[in-house]
Amino acid sequence: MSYINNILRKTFKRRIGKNVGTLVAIALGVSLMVGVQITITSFSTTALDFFVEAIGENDIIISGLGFPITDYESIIEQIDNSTIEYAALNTRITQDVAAYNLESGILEKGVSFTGVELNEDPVFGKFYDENYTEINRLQLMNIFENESHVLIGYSLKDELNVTVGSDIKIRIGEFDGTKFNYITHDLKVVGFLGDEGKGKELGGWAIWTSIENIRSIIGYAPNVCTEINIALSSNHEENPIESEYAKQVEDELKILLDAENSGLLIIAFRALLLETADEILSSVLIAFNLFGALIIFSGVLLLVNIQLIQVEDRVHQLGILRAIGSRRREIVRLFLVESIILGILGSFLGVAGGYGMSVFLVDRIGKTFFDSSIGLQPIVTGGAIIYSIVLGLILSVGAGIFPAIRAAGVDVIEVIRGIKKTTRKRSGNVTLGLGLAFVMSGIAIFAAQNVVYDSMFTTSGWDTAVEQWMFMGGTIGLFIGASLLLGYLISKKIMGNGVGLTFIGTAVLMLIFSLPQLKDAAENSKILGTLAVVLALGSIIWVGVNLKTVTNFIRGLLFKTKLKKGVSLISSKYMTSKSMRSTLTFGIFALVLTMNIFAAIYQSTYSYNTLESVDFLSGGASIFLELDTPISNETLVNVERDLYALDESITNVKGINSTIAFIQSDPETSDLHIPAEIFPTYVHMIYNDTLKDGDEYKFDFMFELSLPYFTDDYKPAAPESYQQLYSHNIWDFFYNRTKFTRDGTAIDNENGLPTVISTSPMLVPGNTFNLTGLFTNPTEVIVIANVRQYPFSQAQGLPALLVTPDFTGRLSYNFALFPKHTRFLISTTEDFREGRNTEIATKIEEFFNSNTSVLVQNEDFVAASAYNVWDVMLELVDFQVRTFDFLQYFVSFGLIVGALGMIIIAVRNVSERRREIGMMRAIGYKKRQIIGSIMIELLILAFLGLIMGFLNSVVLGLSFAVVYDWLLIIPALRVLLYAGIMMGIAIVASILPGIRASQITPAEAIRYVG
Amino acid sequence: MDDEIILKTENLHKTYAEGTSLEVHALRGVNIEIKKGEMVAFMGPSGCGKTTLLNLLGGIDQPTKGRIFINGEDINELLDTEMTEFRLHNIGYIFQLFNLFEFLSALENTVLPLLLTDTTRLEAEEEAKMLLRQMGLGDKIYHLPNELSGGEQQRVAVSRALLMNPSIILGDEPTGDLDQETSTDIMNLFVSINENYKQTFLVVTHSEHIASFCHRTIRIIDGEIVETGKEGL
Repeated sequence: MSYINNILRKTFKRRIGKNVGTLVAIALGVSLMVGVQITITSFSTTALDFFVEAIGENDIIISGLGFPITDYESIIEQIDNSTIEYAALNTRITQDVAAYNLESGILEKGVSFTGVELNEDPVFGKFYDENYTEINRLQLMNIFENESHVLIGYSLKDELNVTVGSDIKIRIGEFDGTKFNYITHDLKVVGFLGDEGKGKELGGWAIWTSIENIRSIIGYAPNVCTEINIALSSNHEENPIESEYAKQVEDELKILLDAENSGLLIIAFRALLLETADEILSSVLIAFNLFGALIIFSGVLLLVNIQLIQVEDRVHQLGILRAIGSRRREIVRLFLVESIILGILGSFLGVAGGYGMSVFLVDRIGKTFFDSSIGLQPIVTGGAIIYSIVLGLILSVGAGIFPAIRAAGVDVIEVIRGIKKTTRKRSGNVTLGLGLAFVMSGIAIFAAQNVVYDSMFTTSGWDTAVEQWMFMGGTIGLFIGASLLLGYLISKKIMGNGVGLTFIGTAVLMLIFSLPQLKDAAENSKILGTLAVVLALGSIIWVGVNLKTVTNFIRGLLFKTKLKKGVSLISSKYMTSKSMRSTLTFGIFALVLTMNIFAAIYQSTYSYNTLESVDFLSGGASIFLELDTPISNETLVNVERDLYALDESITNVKGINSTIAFIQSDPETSDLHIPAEIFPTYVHMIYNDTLKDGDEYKFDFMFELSLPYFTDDYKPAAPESYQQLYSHNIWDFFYNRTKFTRDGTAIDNENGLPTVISTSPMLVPGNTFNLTGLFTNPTEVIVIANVRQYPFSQAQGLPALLVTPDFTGRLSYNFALFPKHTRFLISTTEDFREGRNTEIATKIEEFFNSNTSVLVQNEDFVAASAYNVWDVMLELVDFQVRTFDFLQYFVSFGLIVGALGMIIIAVRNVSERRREIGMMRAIGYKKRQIIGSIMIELLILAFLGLIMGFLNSVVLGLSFAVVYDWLLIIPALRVLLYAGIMMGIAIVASILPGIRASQITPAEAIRYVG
Repeated sequence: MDDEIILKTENLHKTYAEGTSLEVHALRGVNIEIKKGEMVAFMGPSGCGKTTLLNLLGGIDQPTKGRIFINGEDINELLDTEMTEFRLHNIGYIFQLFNLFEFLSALENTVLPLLLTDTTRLEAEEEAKMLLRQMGLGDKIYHLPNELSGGEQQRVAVSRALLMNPSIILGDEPTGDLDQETSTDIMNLFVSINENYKQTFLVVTHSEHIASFCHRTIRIIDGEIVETGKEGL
């Protein structure tokens, strides 16, 4: 035993230079993993903090959504008498208003005008002035003594450009018992609120007053408020409240306060926001995790590669150890001890490197996703460090186990004869056993799928990610099992090809055929991520198995060049002889390129198709106008009449009714992808003649082309005229028919539910749910189609629904000023992209908002926002492009670390081949031929990686294109750039060791025994 | 055997780790002359400098002092590229441990030097195959080294050394890893080649038996020539 320790100590010292290389490689591999983890964690935590800080300590909201909650004291009494325990409770009155600065002429909408009780519990947020000094209750009483005196939130202050003493006007609804009549009210700014304290985000875009003052302004009775807030914990950081518990309290309150009949909206607000944040994050995190998985995978390949070199470099030593009586387990231990030492040191270094990587990435996250001025820091907890070190250790030691076992299997006789061969023959029983096990598990998965989902080979058997995962698992199990059995019976090559092609075939076929069956973007992404990894794995295995054939082919090509054949022969043959290491090296190239090229292809394809389709899908509404409230005095301004005079290019102006309503569903039975059982939605009421003038479509919106639910024979690639006809059919159906079934689709409306059209991937055709307004009974509806018209999609992240006019009665409270409109579709004669639509939109805003506006002059203003749809889309696409730019940074680290790893592998490779290089020099290889042979090896592997990475990326991109009915765009320049970078890396990574190799003195090298 | 001097050294010195405490004088002023077509054995105890001398003569190592002339050309004056080219065309090397590339077949190992010239692959392979057949390896040309016996591996190494038809063949204990019978076979092969093609053989050996196949024996002790042997047999 002690001689092993002695050998370990001595060899470790003697090989210190090589061990440093291994150490750096491990550190790089671990850096990738740790960096990815820290970045993802920081992103999630920062995003959640972003939400949490905005919320404050509030857990539950009982709201009339701006409408009065009468006799709120009895509600509080009921809560106090129930079993519900809470830390604090308040009442407030909040109204959504437009604010106007008389001096600057600036008008802002969507401002929260909030009245608070002066003795409100501070857990709901304290008031701080702009110098961050807390404003106490007495000071508040003084401030609000005058009914018109208000405090302004920090962000509104800047946008509205007000100072202390500024006079502002707000447009606010006066409640007459049934509806709001909008009036203009004068206020004076007496102070500001800084961005300090809990719930700060909600206070930034607000005007603050006392609850008494606001009651007086609106005309509410003293027993009225509009919301009751409940904090279940006074400090969520110290005493967190589980979302499940908050939702349980929400349910109890609904029963207690008879929410169904009282019309009270009761929401576990904090839980809902956090879940929504999770939902939003998950889509971004899927992309992170997909690329993160590929990066980690390349890190693991790097680790295994370097550990394999460790073994092969020492085969001679191991042969001698075995010959003098060392047992296999002692050899394994020898390597494992080394792996553990290097793993621990490498992991520590890797954590530091990973932190460094995340410093850059997390900073980019702040700038890309949150605020360009935010300089975020990576969030590293003690647990995360321990986790990272343990992970690094497990992976580096894990990566050492396989080489250690290989080392233990060294063939003593061959080694002593001077032949570096590490494998010994195996019986094949393991292959047989594994083959049978895989076949059995494949059958078991299929059987389980058949039992659970009843259907396996039909569309309905493939419409969730779980079903597709099961199908994939079953298929892979069966085919890999069969491959192993064939390997046992016939040859290892057949086995390897079978395994590789099983992964590739399953991934490609599923990408083409089954992925489009998923109608949900989140489900799509899950499967896509899995298939990307399976495809990459399959391609690495397949190329690895056929490396000999491929390199023979490449050698044939090289023989036709001017390169000396002795150089081509020796490098290609050496590469084939080290097939495992070559495959791992190729794998790193292939993975890194797959990530980079796919990100580039997706980014280009997304941008091109989104922008190309905007014109067509905008339905002719090049400008979209939003008013914060309906115009009360239409004798002053009638939008549908007066806008034509504003600019001669305006050809059509049509108003629609819009409001906020709520989607209610039972999460236990519903297949909706909304994060809570009650969720706000924008509802746009569309009349048949809103879009049509007689039989002619003035606005011609297209339906989601990739979701052919509506007709069985839908042709996604058909020309625009077909798409228009298809869309017209859906519009007709929307208005005229209510009872229908579509065989083979998810739509079943035999009961004749009212139909709605969705603008959101959260709500897809066939979904049924209750739609409810305030103080109204819920109405069950069915989604019949997704529409991709962009004007309606500008709804602040909320899903939007188009409903038929018969909803007027059902949502009457919400459509308070019905039939007055707040949204307008505007068409112009201007070119959609190049025309003056932005200028016209500005004119429209000025028409409503400027000092010269007749509405402003009559103090009956509304706040208007007019969007050039093309500009909005450019911004949206720009955000997506920035998101993918960030992902490019993310994957670029894979590229950098891959490059460094390559250099280390190449350097180690050379030192292992010292003797062979000496032989080459003795035979007559010139120095430059030695350099050439080293370079050719890595260049061939990089070239193969490039081809496979490109093919993988195209297949993945193509699957996206099929799902979204996009034209696949391959950005040739960027692909060439990545190809150039990769080949450059291969050149740099090989030229340095190549030069080093060429300087080896042949006489010394020949004596080298490792 | 010709009277023409093919190889000559003048005051050849080789010192390892010069100027350090580990300094070793491997060769101390070696002067030898080898005639074209001569077969010479270098003998001496381990560490006497035999292999060092062979490496210097083969141009794979540099002397600390002194000069080496091959065909009248001072090889130490050659640049590295010229030396490599010179070695490729003029010197064949045979090592004790065969030094075959384990991942190349017998044919590929043999053909390597010719593939560094402008000879076409087919021509090169034809020549290599012919040579391997002459060596009695006609049925094993596609075998990898680990599929060959020690003697067969050395025959492949000899084939590789002969392929370029070099004027000098250096053997560093070429039979050191082989049994006596195989060693005798190999040496008979050398003799046969020497007689037929008039190539010069310089063989480092510990074995009097092996030396007995050569025309003369040069004995080295502590880096100095102590006996040059009589020329010719």
